[in-house]
Amino acid sequence: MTPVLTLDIRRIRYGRNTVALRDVALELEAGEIVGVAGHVGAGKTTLALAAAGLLGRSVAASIDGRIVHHGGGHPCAGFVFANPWTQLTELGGTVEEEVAVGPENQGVPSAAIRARVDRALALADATHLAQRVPRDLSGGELQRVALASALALDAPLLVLDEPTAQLDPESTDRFAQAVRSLAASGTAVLIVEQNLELLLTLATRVLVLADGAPLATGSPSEVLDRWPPLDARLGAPASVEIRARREMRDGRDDAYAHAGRCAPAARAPLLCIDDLCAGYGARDVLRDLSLTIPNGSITAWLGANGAGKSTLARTIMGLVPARRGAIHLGDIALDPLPVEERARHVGLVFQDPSRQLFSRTVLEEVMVAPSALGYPARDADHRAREALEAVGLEHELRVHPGDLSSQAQRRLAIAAAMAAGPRLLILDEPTAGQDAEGRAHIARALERQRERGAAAVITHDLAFAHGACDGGVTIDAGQVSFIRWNTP
Amino acid sequence: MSDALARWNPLTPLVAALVLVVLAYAGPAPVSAPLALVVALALAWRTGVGARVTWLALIVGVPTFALLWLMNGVIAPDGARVGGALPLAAAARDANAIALPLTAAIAALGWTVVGIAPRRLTRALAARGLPAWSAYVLVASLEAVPEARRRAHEVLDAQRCRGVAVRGGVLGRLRSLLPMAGPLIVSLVTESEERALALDARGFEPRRHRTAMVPIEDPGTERAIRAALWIVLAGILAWRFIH
Repeated sequence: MTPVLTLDIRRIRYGRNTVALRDVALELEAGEIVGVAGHVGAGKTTLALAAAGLLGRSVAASIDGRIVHHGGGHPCAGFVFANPWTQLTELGGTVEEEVAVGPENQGVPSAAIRARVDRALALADATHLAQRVPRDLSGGELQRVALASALALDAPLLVLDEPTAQLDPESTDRFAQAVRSLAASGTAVLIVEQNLELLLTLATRVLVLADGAPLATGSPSEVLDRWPPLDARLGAPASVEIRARREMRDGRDDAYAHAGRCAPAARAPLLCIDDLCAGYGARDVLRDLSLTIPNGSITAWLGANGAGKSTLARTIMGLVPARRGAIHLGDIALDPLPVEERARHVGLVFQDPSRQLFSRTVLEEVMVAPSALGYPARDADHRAREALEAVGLEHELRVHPGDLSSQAQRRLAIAAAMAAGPRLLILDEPTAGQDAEGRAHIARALERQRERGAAAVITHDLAFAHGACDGGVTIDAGQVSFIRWNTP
Repeated sequence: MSDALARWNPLTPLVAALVLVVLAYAGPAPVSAPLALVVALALAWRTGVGARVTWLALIVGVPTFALLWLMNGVIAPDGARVGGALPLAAAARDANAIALPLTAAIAALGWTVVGIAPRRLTRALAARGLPAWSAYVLVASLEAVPEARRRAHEVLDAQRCRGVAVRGGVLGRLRSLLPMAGPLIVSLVTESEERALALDARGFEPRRHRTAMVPIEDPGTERAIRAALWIVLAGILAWRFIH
């Protein structure tokens, strides 16, 4: 087989003292799909950036070792970032123009660019988005655009950093098919994923990193299909965990069922939405949506990318004005309340948490909401510490929010919303990029929220939804299409 | 953006705007500046962006005229005498001599900024050999204000979601300025770093010429129009040099 990439890294440092990665030797051949897994902070993204040839260029780092791209070319790899919002160059006004930026930079002739863009959009399942404005897309839609943009470079190596974090399950399946067909045509793929189930079925080889060094390498079944998992922080693929728990519980059918939970439908309703219509400009996103969420429940809001889940959350919060319909939280009508007032009752954590973090320390960050809502300083401090403890950040009080990993930032944003004491907490894709430890912290925070009112989790992570939520509401084309509650 | 202008090669309105600016400042007074203003506004209305361009011209022109008239006609040059430093009509004429060309230039440039999609303009310039870095700087500059506004809106939304009051009286707005400004600046800096990484990942080379998926057409009639405009521009400059 033809080697595409040879990595022989002794050390990669950020600044003088921070060693992010050490002692990694890896060779990728044409047509191979190598998965990289590891806990948060294990060095996965550093490895991905190094493999794509971006370290030492736009990302300052010192590399002690050898990185050889046998295929050459510029860029030497297509790269998909973990955060799809960082993928946009803004040189393209529409999705197809954005996807064309890479080949245009490479100096490809016009007709060939068109062919590459059409093929990349089709492979990334984004043809229908071609004429949309990138900034108007949902996180999942944008991730498809990010993938198409990388594919359009037609590089012999494709490096994907958490490419399915924002994708719905159907899109994830189509993504896996696209990667397989690319590999079949000779492209080497390096894929960093927290979705271990995907690596189990997609990768030909897996490398597990822990604390910046290789922990294990081998076939996916050797490395990932084991219980207990190789590294507790990393966890195991959902199917492996379910199977193991089923065996441990002596044949009990539903490994995730939470004993003692009663059917939420029997509880008093907390959030009542009637015939809600909302949208952006001339475009209706929510169409006569009605939904009731019981008090004391944790609900997963599921549905395809662009179905209207985030818009529903933003409409409840008041950021998107309702064109018609009514929203009640308990006996409070939310419709006439401005956003600042709704913040007493509803907490919303955005998909991209870095947009919500502004203060100098973690503690100050979480104190913003209770202070703004008029709680005395001592009370605000107490609430903040309590919320930080709920998400596992109680030891990071004096750290600058910008110095936290993006996964920890997400948990910080959750704490910042919880500290205001809302009766309804809505989290938009909270588990994207989280390892097993991070997911456990979020599940614990949700349980804490249950005592105050209710929580809703917008997610494509079905394993988390099944494990941490009481039931799921499926939203399709701006309407509730299906509701299912777990039974005790 | 103007649909009517989208049918043109962006270089044609750009050269037309340049001619109007030169006409306003270097053409024969007192006709040239009002003529440039009328033509610029007529072109703007004809291409569907008249309301925005007129508004832009008014918010620059009227305060400039009022300020200059006030300074010349009411406040004495040495600041000692109040009233009657110059006859009011003469002061208005002097104010007009500065404000009118400025208004005409704003209308002409505003017409291109509002009417031409920046990305089309950069593609047209790239086809003329403009290096990638200057194309990017041009897009980034033209997009800077809407980008900052979009980002400010995001910060505003995030702050409001946490109960921070950003509306209401002057005091309330001032109080909310700090939690708004800090994050806005930090996020704009962060975004520029992210943009650099995104560009690098897509093979952006500052000195390399970029190709275009959809090349901007440049038919013969437009090339002829631009050639005529360049001749007019040279004529105005020659007239100014002679007089």
